[in-house]
Amino acid sequence: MNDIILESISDGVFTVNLNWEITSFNRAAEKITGIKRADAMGKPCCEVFKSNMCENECPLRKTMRNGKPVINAEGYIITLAGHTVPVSVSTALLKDTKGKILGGAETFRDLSEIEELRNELKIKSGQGKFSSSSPSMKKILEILPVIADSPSTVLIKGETGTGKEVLARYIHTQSGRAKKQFIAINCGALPDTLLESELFGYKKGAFTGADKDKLGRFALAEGGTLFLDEIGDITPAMQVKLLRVLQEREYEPLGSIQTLKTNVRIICASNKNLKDLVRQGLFRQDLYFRINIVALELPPLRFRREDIPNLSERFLQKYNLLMGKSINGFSPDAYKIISAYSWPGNIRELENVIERAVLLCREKTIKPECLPSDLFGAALPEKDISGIRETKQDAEKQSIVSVMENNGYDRIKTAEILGIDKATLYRKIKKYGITLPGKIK
Amino acid sequence: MQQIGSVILYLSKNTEYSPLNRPILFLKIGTDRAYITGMKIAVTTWNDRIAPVYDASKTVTVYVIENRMVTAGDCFAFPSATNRAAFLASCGIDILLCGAISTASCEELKRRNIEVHSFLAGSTADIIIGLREGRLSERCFLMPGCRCRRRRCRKGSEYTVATSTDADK
Repeated sequence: MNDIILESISDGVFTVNLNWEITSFNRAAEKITGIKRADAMGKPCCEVFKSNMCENECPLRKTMRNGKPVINAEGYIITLAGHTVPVSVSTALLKDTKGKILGGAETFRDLSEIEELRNELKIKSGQGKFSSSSPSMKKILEILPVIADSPSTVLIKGETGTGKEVLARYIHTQSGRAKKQFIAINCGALPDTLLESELFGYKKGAFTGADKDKLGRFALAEGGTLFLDEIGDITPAMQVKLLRVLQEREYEPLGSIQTLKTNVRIICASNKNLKDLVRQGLFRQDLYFRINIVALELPPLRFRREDIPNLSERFLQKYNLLMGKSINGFSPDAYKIISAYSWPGNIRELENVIERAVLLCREKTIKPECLPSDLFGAALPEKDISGIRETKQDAEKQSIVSVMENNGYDRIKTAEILGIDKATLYRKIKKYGITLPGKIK
Repeated sequence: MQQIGSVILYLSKNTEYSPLNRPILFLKIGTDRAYITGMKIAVTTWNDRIAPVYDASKTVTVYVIENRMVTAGDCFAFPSATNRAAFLASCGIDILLCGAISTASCEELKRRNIEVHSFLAGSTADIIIGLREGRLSERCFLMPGCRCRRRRCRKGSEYTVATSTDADK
């Protein structure tokens, strides 16, 4: 009877004897740890469970020591594949009918989904992880800690939807200013006068309707970070005002005669090529030099296709939770289409597509019919994709081909852009059978 | 397993026999490089056993190969504020023997040119014997459920451990 109950519950349960050897291991425990019951039985629990709590603050040891159960202690376990799985653990003593202690019982719950939601919230607040498995992101990820520590102005370049604001938030949270405010403003969305009052604030009576003082974004971000999105869209007049703040670190609110000092770290972003704008006379060169101290260029999603599977899975988990669905993954055909698409709207577009697919999907896997028709034109003509590894390889191949095409088949430049060694690029070209035109560098 | 050929190892007459001070020889496949003196091996330990999780382990024992022998290990506590991989790299560690390890930590160690033999279980002395005899891939040295040896090589090179039996041939 007890065995039937243990086998039917979704929480992992194992029991140990007084020598800390596993004496029972239910099906959910097998699923969460990835270890078969036969392999676990009789083995030390710490070698089976592999939790960060084992060595330092084992809940079961506490219970065995003082007889009191531990409820919902949170930690993580490491699976054989090296994945970290967050778990909550509860423990109790095992006694026979005479009250003699036989050992202990531990139940544990996989918190991956809850952790995913938490992470999602953290990402929104800029505290989540900023990770990528793409070589083209490697350089950025490597220098991020140094950039975060410095007070320098940062310019983030990249197409729309590549995650410029997410990166800006991440830099802020990793910097010494993390305890202060991160204030974001989209410069392209506001007319000049409004932008000025938003940035610098105004004094009562500065203009009709200004019936009280208002703090500007510079004042709100004092000691923290101010993120100026779409900086390439501001007018020349506004550029002059901004230049002064960046140079002199001081400004006057509208209607005020008092100059205020500011201690704000500026992070700018633009999806336009500011250099071109400078050449065309649309953007001040001095302002460009002032903001282009540390420049980060986020590659578009089509150049970091290795991230598509992970991002797709993440968005699938997110919308599964938000919509109360339990979709397991994508069908090979759907993966093929997602991988082949060029994603002009980048990560934002991918998220929207996955949201739509989760909404429309009535089965356990997302199939091509759940995807919007725009994606179908770019489907790969190659063989069927049978899994995530093939999908990643295809993505890698596509990424190499597109970068090479965009750079005139210059392999040295391609390797640089992709953030991989020249020899690695040669090896991959050979591996994927990428054909090159006759005259190449 | 590589044949060592004419290299013959003997126990030092003045050295007391124990699992730790028997000769050890590292071979690099495909080269004539015979053994590496001064190589440092770190083992994350807990109660004289391999610590179950590298990422949460508190102490590390460092063994050094000198004159074809494994010296008795010195025990260090991981400095809490320091990155573990950085600490091991600063100690000049070449090989890490550990229990479960997250992919992220493993990659970090690999970046720092430290070869990782992970998901090992058992007493530290047994693991050193397993290393000496080139048997770490056997199930008795691995955590439950491990079917094969999880091995990370640095810079694509591969090391194997020669047994004293081989050496004595």
